[in-house]
Amino acid sequence: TIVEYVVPLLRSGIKDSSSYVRKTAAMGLARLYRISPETYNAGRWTQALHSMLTDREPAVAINALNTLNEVEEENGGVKPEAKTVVPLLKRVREFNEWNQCTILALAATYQPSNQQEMFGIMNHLDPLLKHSNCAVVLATTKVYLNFTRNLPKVHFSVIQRLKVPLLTLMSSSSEELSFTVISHLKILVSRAPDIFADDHKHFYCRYNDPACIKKIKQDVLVEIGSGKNASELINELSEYITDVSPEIARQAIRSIGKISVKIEDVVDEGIELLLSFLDLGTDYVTAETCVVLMDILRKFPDRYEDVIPSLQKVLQTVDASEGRCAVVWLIGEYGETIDDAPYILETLIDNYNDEQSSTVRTELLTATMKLFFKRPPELQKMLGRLLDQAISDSNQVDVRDQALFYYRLLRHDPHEAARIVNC
Amino acid sequence: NFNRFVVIMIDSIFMANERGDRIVERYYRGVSNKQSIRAFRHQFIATKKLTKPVIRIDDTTFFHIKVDDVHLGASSKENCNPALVFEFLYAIAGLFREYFTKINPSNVRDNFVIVYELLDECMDNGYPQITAVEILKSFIRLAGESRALTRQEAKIKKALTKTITGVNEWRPNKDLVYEKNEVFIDALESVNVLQSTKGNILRADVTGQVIMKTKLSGTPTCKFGMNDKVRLRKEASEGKLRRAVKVVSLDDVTFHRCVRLSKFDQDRTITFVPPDGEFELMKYRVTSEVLLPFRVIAIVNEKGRNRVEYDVKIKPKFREQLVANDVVVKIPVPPNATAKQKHIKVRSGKAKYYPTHNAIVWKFRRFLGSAKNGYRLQAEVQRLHSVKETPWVRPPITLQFTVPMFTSSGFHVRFLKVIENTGYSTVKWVRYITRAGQYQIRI
Repeated sequence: TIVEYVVPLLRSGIKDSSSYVRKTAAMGLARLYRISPETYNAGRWTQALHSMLTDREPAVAINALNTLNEVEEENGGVKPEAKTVVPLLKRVREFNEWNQCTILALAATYQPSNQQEMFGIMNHLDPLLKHSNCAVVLATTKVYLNFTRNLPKVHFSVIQRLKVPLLTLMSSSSEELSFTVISHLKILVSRAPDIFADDHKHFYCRYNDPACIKKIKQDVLVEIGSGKNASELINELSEYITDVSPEIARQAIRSIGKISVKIEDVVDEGIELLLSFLDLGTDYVTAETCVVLMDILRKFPDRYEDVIPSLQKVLQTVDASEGRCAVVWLIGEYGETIDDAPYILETLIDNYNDEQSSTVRTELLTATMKLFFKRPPELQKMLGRLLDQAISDSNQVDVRDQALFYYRLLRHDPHEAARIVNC
Repeated sequence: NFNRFVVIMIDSIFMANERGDRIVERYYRGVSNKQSIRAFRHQFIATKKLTKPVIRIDDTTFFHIKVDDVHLGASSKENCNPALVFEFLYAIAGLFREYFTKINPSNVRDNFVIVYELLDECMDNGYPQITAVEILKSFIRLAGESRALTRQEAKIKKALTKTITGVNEWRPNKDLVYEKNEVFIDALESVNVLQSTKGNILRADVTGQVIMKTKLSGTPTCKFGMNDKVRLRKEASEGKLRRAVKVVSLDDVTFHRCVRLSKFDQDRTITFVPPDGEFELMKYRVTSEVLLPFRVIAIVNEKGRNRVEYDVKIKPKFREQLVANDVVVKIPVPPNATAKQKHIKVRSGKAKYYPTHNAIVWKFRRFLGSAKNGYRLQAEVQRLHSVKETPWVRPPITLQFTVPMFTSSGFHVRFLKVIENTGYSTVKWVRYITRAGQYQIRI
C-alpha cells in the first residue's frame, strides 16, 4: 500500500533542513498513525517527535506537540511534565496566536511544583491578557483559573484581574465571540458575584443584541443582584418587557421576581413594577406576571394586600392558563381576607365548562376546598356544584379523580379532610 | 484529573449560501462527517434556525459565522476552545476578503482554486497553521499574476519557508525600499451610548482603534506615545513632563501581535516592528469621562390610539470650530402608521418618513459645532387602529454621525518615533475620527 512509500519520506522529512518540510512531516506522522497505527508503532517515532519539541522553528515544535498528543491518546495525550511544558512556556511569545493557544491549553493541565513556580508562570503570561485575539485571552484565563483552583483567596484576586479584559472583549467583539466570552463570564460571575456587582451596566441588553446573548445577560444580572444595585436592575429589566421576543420578555419578568425574592429591600418596588405590567394588556406578560407574583407571595405572604385587588381585575382578562392558575391559587390561600373571594370562585364554577385547562380546574378544586374550610356557610353549595360537575365530566380524568377523592374524604370525615387539604 | 488537552481539532470547514446549499467543503480528518454537515445545512441554515453560534448535532459541534452573503462554518467532535474556532473562521474570512473583496457565492466560484489553496495552507489535519496575510499573499497568487519574479521577490521566496515558520512573520521582506518614508496614523473611535427614557445616560463608552499605514524602508523599530494616564503619571513623577497634558484613562488595551507586550507591561511604552502597509496597531476602550458629541432629548407621547407626538431636540457638544458630517437621526414610528405623514416640522436638515423602515429619518449633511442651541424636530404621526391592539414595542432612537478631528475619549497621539539603521527621516500624518457605534436613546 501507499503507506510503505510514505514511511521513508517521513523519515527524511523530519530531518530536512527546511523548516516547512519538517513541520509538514511532523503533522504527517499524525496522519500515519490514524491510517495505520501498526506501521506507526513499528517505526519508533516517538523519540524523534520529542526531540522536535525543542526545534528552533515554532511551527515545527507545535506540529510535533499536536502529533504527540494524538498518538499518545491511549495514555491520555501529552503528559504535562515540567520538561515539556516549561521550555515551551519560556518561548511562548515566539509563537503565532493559534499556537500560543495550544501551549496555553497544555499549561492549563500542568501542575506547578510549588507556589513560586505558579506565580512565576502567571506573571510571565500576564502580558498575553492584552492580546487582540480573544482566544489567547481566554486560554490564559483558563491557565490562571486552573492553577489557583485550590487557593480560594488567590482565585478571587485572579478573577478580579481577569474582569477588565473579559468585559472589554465582551463589549467589543463580534456577536459569536461576544457570546463565547459572556458564556464564560457567567461561570465566573456565579463563582464571585460580588466582584462584578459594580459592573452591572455592562450586562444591560442592547436593543439589537441577539436573543441568545440577551438571555445570558439576564441570567448574569440576576446573579449579581445585591442590596446596592437591585433597584436599578429591576428597573432596567422592566424595559425588556416590551421586547419583540416573548421569551425574552417572560425571562425579564421572572428575573425581576428572582431578584425581588433574593433581596428583601426591593420586594415592594418589585411588586409595584410587576403590578404595572398587568396594565399593559399583553397576554403572555400578564400570565407570567401572575405566576411570578404568586412565587413572591409564597416567600413574603404579608404583601398580599397590595397584590389582590389588581389580580382580581386580571382574572376577567387573562387568557393563558398559568396566569389563571396563579390567581385561583391566591384566592384559595388568602380567601379569608378577600371579601369577594367566594363570588369570584362562584363565577368560575358557573362557567366551569368554559374553562378548558385541567390545571386550572384542579387548582379551582383545591382552592374551593381550602376556602370551604375557612368560610363554610358561603362555600358549601358551590362546592357541591363544583364537585358534581367535575365528577361527571369524564374527559379530564385527573380532575375527575381528584374531585372523587375530595368527595369521599368529605363524606368520611370533614375534619380529616380539612387537615389534609390545609397541610 | 484533566483529560488530554485539546484546544482545536477541526474535522471540516464548510461554506453554505443563505439557502443552505453547499458552496465549499474541505475535510481535514477523513470524510466521516459528510452526513452531519448536510444535516446541519438542512436543519439549521435552510430553516433559518441559527439562533446560537454553537450548535450540537449528536456528537458533532458546529461553529458558524455569517460573513457577507455566506455562512462559514467549522465542525468538530472534540471539546475545542470556541473562541479559537471563531477567531480562526474570522481570520479565514479576512483572507478571502483580501483576495476577492466580497465573499459571495459567485466570487467564491470564480476563485475556487485560491479558496482551496488557502484552506490547504491555513489548516493541516485540523490544526491551524499559517494565516498571516502578508506571507500567504506572496506565494498564493491570483490568476494572471504569474509573471517572472523580480530579483527581490525571488530572494523573499527563498527565505520564505524560514519566515513562515519563524519569529517576525509579519514583516517578511527585510529589504524594502521607499523613496519617501511615510506613516499614516488614524485614530478611529466608536461611541456607544445607552440613554434612558428619562434622559439619564445609563452607559457611555468608547471603543477605539489606531490604524497605521506604514511605507517604511528596511526593518524599522517604532515607538508610539499617547496620552495614557498611567504613563503620564509615571512621567510626571519622574519630572519628565514639561507642561500639563490632558490624560485619557484607558480601561483596556489590546495590541497587534507585533507589539512587544512585555515592554508595555514594564513601562507602558509601545515598541514594535511594523508590518508593511495597513494594520491595526491597537484597540482600546474608555468608559470614564466620555464626552458625548451630541445630546438628544426626545419626548414621545402616544395620544389615544390614533396619534403619536414627537418632540426631538439634538444639540452638539463638540467644539464650535468642528463640523460633523452625515448626521442621521432615525426616529422609530409605530408599524401601524399610515403610509403618508404630512406633519413633520424641522428648521434644519431634511426629515422624511420611510414606511419600510418604520422610522422618520432626519439627515444633516453638515452639522456645525457652532449651532449651540441645536435643532428641533416636531412631528405628529397618524396611526391606523386595528381590532387587536398590541402595544408598540418602542425601539430606541439611533444616531449616526462622523466627527473628524474629534475624539470622545480625549485620546491623543503624542509622538511616533521611527528608528532604523540608516537613520532616515519620516513624514508622519495623524487623523482623528469619531463615529457613532451603538448610539441608542430609549423613548
